[in-house]
Amino acid sequence: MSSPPMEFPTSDLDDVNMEEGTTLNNTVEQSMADAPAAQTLFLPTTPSTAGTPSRTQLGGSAVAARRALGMSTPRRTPLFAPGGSSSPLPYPSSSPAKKTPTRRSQNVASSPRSVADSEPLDFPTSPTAIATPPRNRRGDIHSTLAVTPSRRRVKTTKAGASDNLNSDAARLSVPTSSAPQLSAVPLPSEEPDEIRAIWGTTVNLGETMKLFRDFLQGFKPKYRIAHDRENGLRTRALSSAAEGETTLYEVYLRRMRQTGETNLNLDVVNLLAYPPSKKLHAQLTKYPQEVIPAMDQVLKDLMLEVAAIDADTGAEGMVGEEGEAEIADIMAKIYKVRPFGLPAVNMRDLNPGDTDKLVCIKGLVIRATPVIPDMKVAFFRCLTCSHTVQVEIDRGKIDEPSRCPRDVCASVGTMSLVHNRCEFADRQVIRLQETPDAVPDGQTPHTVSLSVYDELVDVSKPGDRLVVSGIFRSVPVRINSRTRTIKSLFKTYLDVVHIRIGSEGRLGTDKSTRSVVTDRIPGIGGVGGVGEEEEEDGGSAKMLKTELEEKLRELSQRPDIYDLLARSLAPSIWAMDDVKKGILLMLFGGTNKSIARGGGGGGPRYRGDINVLLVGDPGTSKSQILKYVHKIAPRGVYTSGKGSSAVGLTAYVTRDPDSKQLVLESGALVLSDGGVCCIDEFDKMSDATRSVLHEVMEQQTVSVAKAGIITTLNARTSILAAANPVGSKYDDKLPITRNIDLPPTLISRFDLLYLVLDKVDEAVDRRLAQHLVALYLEDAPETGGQDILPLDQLSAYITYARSRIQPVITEDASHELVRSYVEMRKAGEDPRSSEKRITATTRQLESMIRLSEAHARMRFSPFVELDDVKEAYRLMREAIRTSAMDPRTGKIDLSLIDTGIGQQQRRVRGDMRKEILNLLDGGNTRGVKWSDAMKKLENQSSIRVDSQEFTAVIQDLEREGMVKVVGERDRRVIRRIEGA
Amino acid sequence: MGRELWTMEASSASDALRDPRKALLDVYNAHGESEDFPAVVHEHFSNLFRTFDAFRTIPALSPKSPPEAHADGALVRFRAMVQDTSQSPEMYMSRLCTGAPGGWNLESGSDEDILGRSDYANLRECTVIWATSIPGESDWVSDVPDASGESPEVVHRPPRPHKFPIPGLPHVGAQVKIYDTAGRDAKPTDLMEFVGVLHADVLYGEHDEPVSVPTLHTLFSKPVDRSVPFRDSPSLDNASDIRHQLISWVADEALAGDTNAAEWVLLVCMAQVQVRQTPLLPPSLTLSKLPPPPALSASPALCTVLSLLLPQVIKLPATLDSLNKERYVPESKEEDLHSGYLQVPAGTTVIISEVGLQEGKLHEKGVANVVAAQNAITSQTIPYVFPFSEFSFNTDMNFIVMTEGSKSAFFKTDVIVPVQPQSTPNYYRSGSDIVQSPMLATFRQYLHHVKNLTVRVGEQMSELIQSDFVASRRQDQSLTAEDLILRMKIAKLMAQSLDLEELDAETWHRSSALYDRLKS
Repeated sequence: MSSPPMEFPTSDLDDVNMEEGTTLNNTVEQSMADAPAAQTLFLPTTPSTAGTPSRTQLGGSAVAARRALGMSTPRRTPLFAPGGSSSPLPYPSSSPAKKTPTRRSQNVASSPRSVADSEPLDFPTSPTAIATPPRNRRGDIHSTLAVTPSRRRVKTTKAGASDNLNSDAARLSVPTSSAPQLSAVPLPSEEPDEIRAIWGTTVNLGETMKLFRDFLQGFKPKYRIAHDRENGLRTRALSSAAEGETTLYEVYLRRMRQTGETNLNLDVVNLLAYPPSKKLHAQLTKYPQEVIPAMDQVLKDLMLEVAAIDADTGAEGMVGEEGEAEIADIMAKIYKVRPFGLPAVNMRDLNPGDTDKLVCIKGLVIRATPVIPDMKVAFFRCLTCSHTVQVEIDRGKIDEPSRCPRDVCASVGTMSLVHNRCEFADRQVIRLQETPDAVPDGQTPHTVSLSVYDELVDVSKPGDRLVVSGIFRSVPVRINSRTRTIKSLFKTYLDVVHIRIGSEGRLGTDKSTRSVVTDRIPGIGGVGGVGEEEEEDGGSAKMLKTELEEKLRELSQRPDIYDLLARSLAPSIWAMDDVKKGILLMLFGGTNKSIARGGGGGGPRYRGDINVLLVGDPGTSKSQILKYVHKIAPRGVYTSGKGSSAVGLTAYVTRDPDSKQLVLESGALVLSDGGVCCIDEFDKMSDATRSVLHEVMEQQTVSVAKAGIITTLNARTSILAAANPVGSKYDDKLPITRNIDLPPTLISRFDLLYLVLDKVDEAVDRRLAQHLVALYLEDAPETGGQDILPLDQLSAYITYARSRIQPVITEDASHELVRSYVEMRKAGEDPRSSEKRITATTRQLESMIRLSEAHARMRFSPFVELDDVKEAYRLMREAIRTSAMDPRTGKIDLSLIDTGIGQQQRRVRGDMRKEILNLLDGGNTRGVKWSDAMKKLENQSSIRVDSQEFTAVIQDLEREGMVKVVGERDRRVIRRIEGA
Repeated sequence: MGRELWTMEASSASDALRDPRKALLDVYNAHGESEDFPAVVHEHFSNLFRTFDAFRTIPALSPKSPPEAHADGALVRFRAMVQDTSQSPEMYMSRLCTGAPGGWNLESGSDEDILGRSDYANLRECTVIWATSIPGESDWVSDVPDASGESPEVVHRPPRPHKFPIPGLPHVGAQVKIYDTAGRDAKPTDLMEFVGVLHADVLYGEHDEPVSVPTLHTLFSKPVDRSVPFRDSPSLDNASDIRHQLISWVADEALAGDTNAAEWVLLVCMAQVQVRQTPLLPPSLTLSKLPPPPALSASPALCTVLSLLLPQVIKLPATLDSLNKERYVPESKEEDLHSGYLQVPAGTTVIISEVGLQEGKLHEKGVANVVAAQNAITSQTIPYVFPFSEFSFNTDMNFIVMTEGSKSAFFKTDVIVPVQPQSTPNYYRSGSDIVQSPMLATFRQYLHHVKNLTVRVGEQMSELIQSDFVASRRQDQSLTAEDLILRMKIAKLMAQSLDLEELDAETWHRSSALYDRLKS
């Protein structure tokens, strides 16, 4: 499996050798790529705590120039005496000025030859550029630190397999025009790594790499468990003793190879937990710029090693050709370590001291640019002599060489950028805003910029809550204002190394609703770190979680858990127990079901989201409940129907201020996909907006067709809405549909509809008066003083249940469901009359199923049992009793809700119609005056004739062509049409 | 000795006034090594201008003396409302490689190279906020010696007018950099006196086009003290007498002699938020049945009269046009917080003038504005609109709605008082026609005093209130808890207005009578 050319490079190879053989060789390219990184390491440009300022550019361009010349990696040895492994470098920051010229002169010395090598039209480096095996250049850490493999390792591993600078791979994958050159030239390995140190510190990079290597090879879950125990955290029980003994990261490495994943998520707590690598944790947080690339290197080395071992032992898929291909594949890949698991700090607390350190913050994405091609390496060509130079990006800037670096030419201002020869990477700028819960009271939220690169691009979208690990940067920006002064400002942003979506304290998003788009979010985590046992929570809080889990489980065993949770929901609001219970179950939600074997891939999906509508008198704390739910709900969005237009609720198209492109911005409904959307003043929204809700509540999608963008967005959301009755006070005498100004079709889409009424009761009033006066005396808020769960625990409880518990309906429960449903339908039968009212429809059955599932979830039960169904039935009945009771008969009639007309009403209309026709037939041909007709009917009837009913009946008759209405308003006359 | 120290201080104060840059450098030379140099600066300069008289000598930055009126680098004080704190902190180089200090714009002249070569470990952070002159602040509050003689030749054009709550009004807006970040964070609508060095500087933030704005590099700051105008006044006696005179003056000048309405105006204006959790908020008032204004532009005389009495009064025009067009609440657009009418400091009296309202259509924005204003009236919170989230900010304002109808077309208030002119209606007389009472200073002091009073309610009184409520409910079923709360609020305010520390039965009955007069 080893590739012949890799027979191994000694570091003693001299430059001459290099220069001759490697102009077009990618190995050189690789080592060239190393150069600038090496410089960041070696050049005492800035103190590492404060970041590398732009001066490195000089060095960078020098190196690039050298590469263009086909030179090898600069000899570093002379710069520092070997052996001075960890002595602090005594460097003043003035040194780069001294160093660079020397190097330049090296370049210059070799330049004639390189010119000779290259044909002017064909840029000398072009084959290299094409044939480059991926360099370990990552966007988040600009100056690439690709460390050449150390000799020690080279010796211990199989030849070839260990080298990341594999010419073999390059040959396989990218045939270049310069085929003859492809016989690989051995790679020069650098001076012994003992002398590498991070500038200005005693940190020895070689040691760091060794430590990390040890860690990857030696870390076992048992260390973490021991560590967590020490810190008083509860630990997860292992399924077997062997589990604690597995070398976790080797498992991960293998899995990475099998899945082709290149990112390793590294829980930094694990570094702390593994005794030998404790130091590494501090190094990583302090000098991520240097340490992370070193880790990348180690990772790649180890990937190769593991692959080699597996090939040797003949592991599956690693035999012979297959194995070689696999290893070649690994060679060609860029491996990245993505550390996470630092405690998150508030973004307000980021301060200059954090510059260039690894930090972790939380926030809400408010804007994300489209993918920006980010120039990594600029390619310049001298217009005079066609000499080419590559310049690497440094801190977001590329310095254009002002003059041709060749001494022979040295023309000023002739270097021009050759666009298609530059290298670009994906980049995206995200604006992250503080989440409302993190903003100190009475403050406006702050915002920070994030730069995300490569795989992390497009992973998050506006509205997501992120936990981000990254390197905090302060970059001087020159602002040339119109004022006289030129001012240098420091801009700050985060180069992101790891993203996690969703943060604690909120409900987890329901996995089943977010399959397509977001499943790849945990995926970017690559293999490892976010281990299989803790898929969505990230390992940092893993043990904390287990502790919490235990606690939650304990809670769930309490017999009064249902009441406790209901009580804890909006504790400041008195009474309204059933409403709270209904909302509680809404938060838990039913399970989403899709029929897997349905037609068209996946088949229909049945929503598990429970929608709740609260209707009630003003001032009955509906809004308070909504606000509360919004606080704890996942992706909770609160909107007021009065203020929001259709676009506010759905999505709108705007021009992005950065890119000047049209972008789709999501409104409340889309934002709450997988969460809860709270809509206040539901009755006051415009018809257009409401019509959108029809789609949302049934199809759970929002269709957008604006400004040339036609799309369907998912809006799988539970809706909690509050509405006021018509005329703001609920009229007991009227059925609910007449009380709420909402189309019955929409009302019927709510699983639960509660009437929150302000009833007059003297005893209650007296208590209230006492309470109010007492309150007034105290001038202090009511504390409640009951046994309730704090908000975060409640939220955690719900999160846990939503993400872990997928209850299945048992036999018993299904029988009970059927029985309850039949009973509900039976309630519509009236033995005294042959009429049949509809009390329950299949919609109610579905609702009942969802509610029972939610109730089971609430108990942390994997099965829906009898009691769940019973409670669901009770809740439904309560809700139906208040909402679907026909006030004129006192009977439940769901057709009131489904069609807006109750059975009773229908009967009344039939009678009225008959009477009207009688009346008209009896009258003269000129017809009957509208008001007279009303009066006459009123006299005949035992009940009051409703003018609205009357109008409706006349309209029906008119439509049927039985009567005709002439005249306007008060002078309307109803005429019977002859013969009809 | 003491005197000597005093003169020394006075002279260094005037030195600082003359050349703040040098004064700052002096402090740096003396204390530059300090761990927390900004705190030293704060300490030093606030000591220097500790006394009221010394403080007054600092030239004020105000609409009357806008940034143009001051030299670049002048020491000024800026009595301001914090408008926007969402700007991320700015980093500055606190010590250049030359050993010179940074911050307070001291580094501005230096070579860029010097800045680049400085040690990044010396980066420090300063808070950047946007502040504007206090919206609706009455003229009498100003402690600046009246400089009416020389009116500024050039009309000051504020650089970012969208940051001021009231559109079209002369004001000053400035970027304020606060270096001593250890103290209390400034919050939106806080009132602060910033003392610092004035420069024109680049607006910090994510802008493509750098904009130059007046920038105040704060040396020290302190909260605005509203009691300053009364510092030399003797304490008040005979509150009930003053109260009586005040009511009749307001009635005569703005309400056509209607003392009942004037009393309500007075009570509403002296209310403050008491408790928020169980809302004990200031009652709101509608003055209804006003005659239509003689001209569309005419504004109620009450605005003028109240601004003669209260420190901050704004008029919120609730006509269709302004409702549909103006912004009532702050909104963040492209990460810039635009202000709105209601982003005014606590203690502001807002007169919502609905007079002159015509038929027409209220658009989406108008509806949102109405909702926001109603919310502010009922719950004393103002929403700040940010992308994907809305933040609710507490506020403490007094609302008076003025309408031609029997009730407001848009807003629901706790109390509706129809005006009953006792003399020729003078509701819209212009400001110059208002006869300034010789008692004005006393009135102001009285209002300031009673507003900050707390009234206790004794055990017996609460018994009385309860039984009163139960008794009146027996007669009138329509009485609600709201009524009771309102009655109690008003009784408390009544006691406040009489300068009482404890609510007594007489005041309770008096306020109940006042309330009952409305109902009948």
